[in-house]
Amino acid sequence: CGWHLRGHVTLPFNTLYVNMPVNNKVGADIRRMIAASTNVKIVMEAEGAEAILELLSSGRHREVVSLNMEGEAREYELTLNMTFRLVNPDGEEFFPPTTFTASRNMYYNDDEYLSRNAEENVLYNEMQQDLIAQLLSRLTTVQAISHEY
Amino acid sequence: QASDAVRLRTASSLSDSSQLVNENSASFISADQMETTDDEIILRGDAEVRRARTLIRGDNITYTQSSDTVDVQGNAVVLRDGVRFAGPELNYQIETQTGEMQDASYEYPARRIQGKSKYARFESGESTQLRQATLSTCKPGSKAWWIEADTLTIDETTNMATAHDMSFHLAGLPVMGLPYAFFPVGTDRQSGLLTPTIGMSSELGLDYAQPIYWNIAPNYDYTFTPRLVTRHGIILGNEFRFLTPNMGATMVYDYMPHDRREGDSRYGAKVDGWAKWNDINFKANYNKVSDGDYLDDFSGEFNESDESVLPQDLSMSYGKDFWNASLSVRKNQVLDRTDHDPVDRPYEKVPEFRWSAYYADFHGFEISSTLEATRFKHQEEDYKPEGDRFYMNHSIAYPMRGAAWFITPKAMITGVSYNLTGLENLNKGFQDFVGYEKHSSFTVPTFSLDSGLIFERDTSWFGSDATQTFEPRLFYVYTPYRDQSHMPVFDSSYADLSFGSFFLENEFTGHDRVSEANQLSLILTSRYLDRKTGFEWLRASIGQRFYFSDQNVGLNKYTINDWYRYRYLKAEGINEDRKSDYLANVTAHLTKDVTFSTTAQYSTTETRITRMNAGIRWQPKPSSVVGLYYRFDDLKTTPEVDRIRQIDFGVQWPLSNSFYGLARYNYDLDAGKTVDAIAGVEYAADCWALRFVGQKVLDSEDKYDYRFYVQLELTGLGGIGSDPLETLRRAIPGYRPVTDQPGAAGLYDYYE
Amino acid sequence: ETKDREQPIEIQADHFFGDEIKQIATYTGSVHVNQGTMRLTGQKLILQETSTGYRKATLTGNVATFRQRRDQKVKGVEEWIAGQAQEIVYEERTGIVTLTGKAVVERSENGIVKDRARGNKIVYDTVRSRTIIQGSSSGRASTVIAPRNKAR
Repeated sequence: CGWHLRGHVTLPFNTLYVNMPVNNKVGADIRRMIAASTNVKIVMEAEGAEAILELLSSGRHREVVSLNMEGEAREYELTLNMTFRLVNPDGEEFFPPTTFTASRNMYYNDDEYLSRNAEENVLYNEMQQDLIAQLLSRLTTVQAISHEY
Repeated sequence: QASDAVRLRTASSLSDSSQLVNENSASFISADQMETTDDEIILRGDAEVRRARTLIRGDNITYTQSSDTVDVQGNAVVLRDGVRFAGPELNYQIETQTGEMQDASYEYPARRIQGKSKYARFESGESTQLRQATLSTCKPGSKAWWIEADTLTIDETTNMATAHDMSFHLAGLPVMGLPYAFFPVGTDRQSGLLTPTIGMSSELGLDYAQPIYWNIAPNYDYTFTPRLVTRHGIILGNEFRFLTPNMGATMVYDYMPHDRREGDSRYGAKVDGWAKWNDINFKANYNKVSDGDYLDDFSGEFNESDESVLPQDLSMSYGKDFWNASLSVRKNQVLDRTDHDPVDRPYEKVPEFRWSAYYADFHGFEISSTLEATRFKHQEEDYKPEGDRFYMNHSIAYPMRGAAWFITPKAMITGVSYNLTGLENLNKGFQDFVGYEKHSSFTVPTFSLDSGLIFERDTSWFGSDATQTFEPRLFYVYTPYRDQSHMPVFDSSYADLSFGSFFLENEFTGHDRVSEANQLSLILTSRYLDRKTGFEWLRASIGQRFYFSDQNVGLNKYTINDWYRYRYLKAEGINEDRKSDYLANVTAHLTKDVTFSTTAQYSTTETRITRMNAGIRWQPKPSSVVGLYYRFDDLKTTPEVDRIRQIDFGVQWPLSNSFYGLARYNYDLDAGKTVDAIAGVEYAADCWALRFVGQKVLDSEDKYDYRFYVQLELTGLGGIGSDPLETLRRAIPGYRPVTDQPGAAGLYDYYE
Repeated sequence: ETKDREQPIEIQADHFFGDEIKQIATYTGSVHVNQGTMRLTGQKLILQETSTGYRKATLTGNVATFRQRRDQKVKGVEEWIAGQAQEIVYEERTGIVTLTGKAVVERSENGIVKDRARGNKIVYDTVRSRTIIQGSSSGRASTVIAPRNKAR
């Protein structure tokens, strides 16, 4: 009924530079994901790269969504967003600044104060993988930039 | 080597750099009739002189080239960076953008400010001096509100207007007169002198705050906010902010000399700062209040005021390419709030040294490691052991990945050791039961294998082409058992079941416990992706964990008020089941405006849903949103008081083109009580908006707090009346104030 | 230059037709008129001797042109005025050149165009170097002035 393993995707460029630090977990995951799923070779210098993936901004946001019967914060909604853009060396955009977001609910009470940051990171790391998957599905639909002269 | 064929390159975008107006830009002059002599050009009939972003217009203009000045007679208009001045005549020097105009009427369209003035003098293109001037953001001629001032200086660089001998008129009546005042004319809503906050509540009585903003320098400012709270007294609020290239801080100190109800003085202090000194980053987040109820009563500048623990953290950190070291002190203040159960006081880390490294690709290996040394202190000696903890964790993984599959084997070693002090003054019975030892340690290896496949097929989503994916993922972890029952718990807790915790090697967060593991998590995810844009229409996943052996490492964390009652219960984390609860999640954009999302946890042993939240939101346009949410938490391990079963309804909807209704209703089904109810109406005219908002919120078990906000917002000048926007933004997801300020104006937005 | 008017007028053309009675001379076919540094060109030239003895030249063509150097005011800066229009009238007595019909006048310094004026009718006084630019009911008079150099 049409199911097949996801195939390699050919993108309209052969080399890509990701403007995130080399030893950054998210940057490393993005590089590995793109290298494995597309024809693109990841380069470590912006010079000579046919395409540049730029992380423009990323933000974490926490909002109280529910109080318990004592009026104490009980449930938070964590939101992670990252804005990317893909350009060629001349600055023309394969896709304009696009914001990918994900949000999860987290239960919390003040007895676990010290471990709250660790709990939040568990959710943020999982949201990170979700955003990388969304980024990849956006990347694989990229068309060549048309130059009408 | 650009010898290859010449490639045409598109011109870079229109650069709107602001330094266009200088001597090397040409002037374009036109009129019905023109007469030029050596030095002068006389323009007659609808004359116009245009240079870069300056435009001068009038019936007749005499332009003297040597002095680059224009003398305009009849219907004179000068337009600079979108700011428009019009009057009977004008004398203006274009290059230095200085000049003067009588009986001018002016307009700052980017900030919707307009008014008239007997005399206007333009200085160096950044500030303008007006005498006998009026200022308002209403349409010319509207009598809603305006400001009259003897002299009014508008400085475009700092976005501040300074007025002398000024009077404020509301609906035609002079409401307030002041010898000296200044206020923001920019779109950012700093509080300025003119934005008092007025509110009423059952707890505080009348609540009137009058912020006075003093802009000492572009990067220093100080706000003094005297605040009258009729049921309690006067609070003197002080907020000092400064920012330099390598340092910045916000310091708040609110002091109430005498609180009629409590009978003594109360205060709230907060320091939030950062600094950078050649590659070393310093950070401070320090909060202190006089008593547990201070935040509940006066919340003011503090973050979530419905939390009971305030951080008092100081840290410095230094990092290089792949490693980072930090030394930090983490103390806290616990608020014992009246009518609230006491909170288990957290440990203090005085100090904590941490070194962590992450190497993304060492010949294909991903290496990360952490070393940590922490000294823990606690105020209650008899139930809380103190001492030093040394923690290390090193892991090496080899991620292999293809387009449709990935396998990541990982090996890890974790070591923890304790040097406890003062065990002798622990409670005798407690120590005998727990049996803490002065020195204790354990090291444990962990092996994990993460793998997954991605299948795809073409399908459609409500008519548009889509690709559906099916992504099974397996995560196996093996960690042998290590006895940790005689070791203290400083900062660990048992991780709630979530899609994140499925992929954790250790079911405990923090560094005190490493759970035994011989388990396999299976997660199935399916997505509907728009084939043209890759947009994720729907994501559904379901997961469960299978335990092939018992998990015998317990958290055995004892809170001082209940260790005796719980000492024979199974410690948190110990597990003999063979399967965990199911966890499912669906997030869908049914249409462009309707989003639906739900997460549910189903317990196989109790064959019921133990935790769930679901929500649907319809948001056709920014200020129109309707949302319905259901939140349910009835997990065995959740303390009785924290179990909730609530529905939450939030709406902001236009009733007419300038009336907006807004409401929120949060009802707890088990307790049969409202938790939070808000109703309000917003009227937005062209230059002012009026908000009436009433709120009934549960303050503790059976005590409600009734609050009433009134806010008159003068667009462009900031609001008058207590600021309900924050409360509304938190209460009604997706709420956007109707008078949302326009974005920053581009240079060519208001060009004629 | 101002002393151009005392110079002799030199005219070249394909054809010439003189009308002694009316004291009108008509030249047609790639007409060139030179007087000192001033040069006029066009398809047809009507040269009239006015009663006061000064001559008046009326030059027409699909485009008639005009060029003259101005008195030197600043050392090292050679200033030229050039213009074109459907009809150019030059009156020797007043030194006034009137360009009408899509008239354009440009002032250049050392070959670089500094100002360019456009209009339906432009009156250029070569003696007092004044220009009057007339916009017709539909057309506007416009001038583009290059950035001023501080030296002026």
